[in-house]
Amino acid sequence: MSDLEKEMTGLISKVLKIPEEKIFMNSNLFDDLGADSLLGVEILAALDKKFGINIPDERLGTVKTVSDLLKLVEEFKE
Amino acid sequence: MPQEIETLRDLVHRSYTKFPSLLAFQIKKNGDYRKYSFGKAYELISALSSYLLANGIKKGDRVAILSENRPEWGIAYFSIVSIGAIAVPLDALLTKEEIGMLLSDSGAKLVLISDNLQKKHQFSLKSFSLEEIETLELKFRPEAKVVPEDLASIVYTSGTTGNPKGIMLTHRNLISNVTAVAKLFGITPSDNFLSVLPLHHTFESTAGFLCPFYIGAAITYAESLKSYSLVKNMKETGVSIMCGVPLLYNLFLEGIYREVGEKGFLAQGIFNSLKLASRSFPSEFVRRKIFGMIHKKLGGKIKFFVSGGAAIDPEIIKGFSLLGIKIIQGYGLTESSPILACCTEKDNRIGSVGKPLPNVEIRITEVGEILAFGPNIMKGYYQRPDLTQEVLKDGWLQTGDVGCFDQEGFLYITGRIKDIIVSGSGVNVYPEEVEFFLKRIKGIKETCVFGLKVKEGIKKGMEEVLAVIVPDYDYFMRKKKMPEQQEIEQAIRQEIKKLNLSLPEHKRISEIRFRSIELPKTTTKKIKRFEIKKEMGI
Repeated sequence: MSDLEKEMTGLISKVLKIPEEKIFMNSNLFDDLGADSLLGVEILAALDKKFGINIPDERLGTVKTVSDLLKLVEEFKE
Repeated sequence: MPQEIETLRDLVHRSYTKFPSLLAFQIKKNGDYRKYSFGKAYELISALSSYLLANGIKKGDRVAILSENRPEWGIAYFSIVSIGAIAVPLDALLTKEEIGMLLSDSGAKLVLISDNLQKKHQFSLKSFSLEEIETLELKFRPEAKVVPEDLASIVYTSGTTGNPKGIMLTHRNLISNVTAVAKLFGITPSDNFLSVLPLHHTFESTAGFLCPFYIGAAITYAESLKSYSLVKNMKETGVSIMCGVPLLYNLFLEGIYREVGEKGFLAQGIFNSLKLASRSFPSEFVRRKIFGMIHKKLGGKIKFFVSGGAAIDPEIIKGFSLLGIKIIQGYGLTESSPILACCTEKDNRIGSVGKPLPNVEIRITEVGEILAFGPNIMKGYYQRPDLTQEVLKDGWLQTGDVGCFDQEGFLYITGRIKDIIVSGSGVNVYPEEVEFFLKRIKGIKETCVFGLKVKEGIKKGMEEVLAVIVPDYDYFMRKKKMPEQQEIEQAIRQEIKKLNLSLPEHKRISEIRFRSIELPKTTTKKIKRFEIKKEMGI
């Protein structure tokens, strides 16, 4: 697991209050981890804060899995 | 005391006459707040109304609104109702098919739509872009005769089973609710509401849109739902009131605690000591002083927050209360425009949804069901007299909720007679609706859907969708001679996963339980939901 993946898992675990060991790269944020749009937006907020990037709320519509989120962070970090 | 008004057309005209230069709406765009005074809003409303009339929209015609929260949503709504046409606000998060079904059910002649959503859905129905409102010219002052009994809005609460339920609200329904609520709270033109919940939700459109517009207060549209962004909007614009759902407040409080935690042990220690000290001071004023830093961060003008849509955990209310922030709970249904009862700033009791509005009567039946009567009760379900008859009896609305009063007249909601699942975001999920989709999956013989309280995580205590499934073993036997139970369950899970992708998030099935034998039924073949619940330990 890369550092970014580890950070991401820790962050999702903190927001959703789910143990890290239940979060995988292919976990569906909504179906498997129980997020909804409000919680999804909070995850984006935590990412913004952690990486100093500003991901608009509407980009959440393109995210399904943890790995999608990772790609989004990479895109905005660039 | 505000002067009496009878229709939404009166409301718009009254606010324009009384507060022409005051701020009505604002939204942050590209770093600056775009502001609309009541005067400017009135000009745009008149221009769009005259456009609608010029384009063949007449009294009684349905016009849909499909847009994110923004000032143009309100301008579109008032333009429609001011000429006696009927506004059909739609949920921007629905799929193209769902929206199509609602447009067709309502018989909408035109849709007022944001460019974002038009690009996404590409509807063939005649539309007008909300981006173009400001380019319209006011060619004539629109004239229209609107009376209190005219329909103002059709609000859809469920739209995917082929049986959409459009709730018909008249001008009288909405005006009676707005004026009753306005009289109960000390809201003034200097207040500023933060609009967070989607405006197609009646709670937001009545309490967070019509009410402030009537009072002459400003509405600030949140630029994002991220809690830090809400805090920023609050600070920058001096927000004083916000309507939200329990999950929003839960996240907000979490955010405050998290931020303190991130500042280190010392800050956390001081914060905890202050919280302890705050317990000894029930006065909100003192608590505000103790947590002055937090209030400063929120702009220093917060009066109260309102929670609706679903039951809020009293611990969240207490958590905010310790910080000197009051959360007021209310109760209502879209069918009642929506508010039936609410706590007030002065008469607030944690755990209760408050007292009935002065113009609303509430009765509790022998089995505990809450019945409501008043000028805010809907006219009925659009083109569904059968459903209307089921819930409106002699003008009394059968809410399907169970509750009781305490000795001082505060109402408490204790459960639901119907099995509606209220998600954490306050959106209702009808079990039959989800069952309808599940039954279309090959390999599922029978199903029964319930709300399940979440046991861990941030949504603890809120409800999610649980489906009890009886597999169609014959179907699987036809496919393979001796399939393993595990294989069957796996195949069904896969299908449900696919189904979830096509459902809005609040309707998605988050837990599946299998049952190998037929579901228990009454002699009239109705599923005994209670027995299944007991058997599954739900």
